[in-house]
Amino acid sequence: MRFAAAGLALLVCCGAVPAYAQYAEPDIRFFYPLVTRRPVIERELEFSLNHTKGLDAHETEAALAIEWPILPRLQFEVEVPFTVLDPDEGKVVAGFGDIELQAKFQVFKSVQYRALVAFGLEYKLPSGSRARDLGGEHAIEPFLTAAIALGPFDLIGEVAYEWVLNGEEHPHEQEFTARLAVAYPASRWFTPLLELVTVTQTRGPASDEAEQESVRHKVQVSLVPGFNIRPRPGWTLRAGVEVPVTTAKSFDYRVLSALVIEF
Amino acid sequence: MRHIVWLLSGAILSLALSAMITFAADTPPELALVLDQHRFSPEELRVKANAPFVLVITNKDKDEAEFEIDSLRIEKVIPGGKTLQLKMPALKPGTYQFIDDFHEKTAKGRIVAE
Repeated sequence: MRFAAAGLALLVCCGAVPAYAQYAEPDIRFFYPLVTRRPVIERELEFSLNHTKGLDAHETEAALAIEWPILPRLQFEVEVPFTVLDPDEGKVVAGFGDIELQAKFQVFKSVQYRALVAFGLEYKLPSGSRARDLGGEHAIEPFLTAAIALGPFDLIGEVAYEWVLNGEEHPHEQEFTARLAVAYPASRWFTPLLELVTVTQTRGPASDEAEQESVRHKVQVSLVPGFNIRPRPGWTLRAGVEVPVTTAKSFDYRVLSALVIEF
Repeated sequence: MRHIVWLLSGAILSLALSAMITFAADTPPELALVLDQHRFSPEELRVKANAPFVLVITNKDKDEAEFEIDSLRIEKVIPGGKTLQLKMPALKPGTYQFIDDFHEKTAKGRIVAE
């Protein structure tokens, strides 16, 4: 009897269709940050090219990603990177890096308040060569991202926590990341933006290497000034540079760029 | 068997209730907007401020269009030859320019909320 009552209540709740349910909702447009994840459900191709001046190597990474919504509020993404690593000591190596799979689910959307919230999970496959320093990391990273338009400014925030699942080091590395991006859409074609990024390695193996020792349990903060340009409808070019502002850092600077094509 | 009867009764009751709720709620006003040869008609729509409404947009062209109101940062793709009922948010008094992002030179208009 109790099951029947519960079933009845559930059916009543599920069956109640609001008067608006038959209508489509507009999509809310937000800018493209350089490192912060967006809560927007997308159908697009992305070609990115990044160059990192690391503490002991220069790294250039080109990546192709496809983002595809399988439901109006659920999107999947696959990213395949190709990396060229030029260490200060040793030979240049190149090859495919770690393939990333991502699922993103939009849990809240308000056209009235121009706000979005989504959570997701990124899964990194150890497809890159660990021996050649091209990746080989097996990791999962749940994340929560939210965006809102406040007056003339757009804000996007994100928190994420990454667990590395493989490797010989013990304990495996864990990392907490928080990002905030703000943009001022100056026109339909040009949007300057600024991002604040904090990364904290919360867990990791003890190491004799000075660089690794210096970032563990310390908050690495970096700023990312950049911009979006729309050269034509459905195309967005974004570019910027990530510069660490704390002594605890894992790279000197990073130049980021990508072309996004909606289809 | 009893459970099945209860569940069936629940389903029927649910359908009846949902139909009642649907009809009882305020039906939002609908405004028609036609896109033909990459031009909107009418080019000006007048709506009541602070009240949601529905835009019934018909794209008579073969090409896909993207209805966009830049000041509200909203957009919606409308496939060629299709009609879309777009639920619009309540607008503060003012004028809101809209375009078809793919043919913005010709396909443009405005919504006046008053």
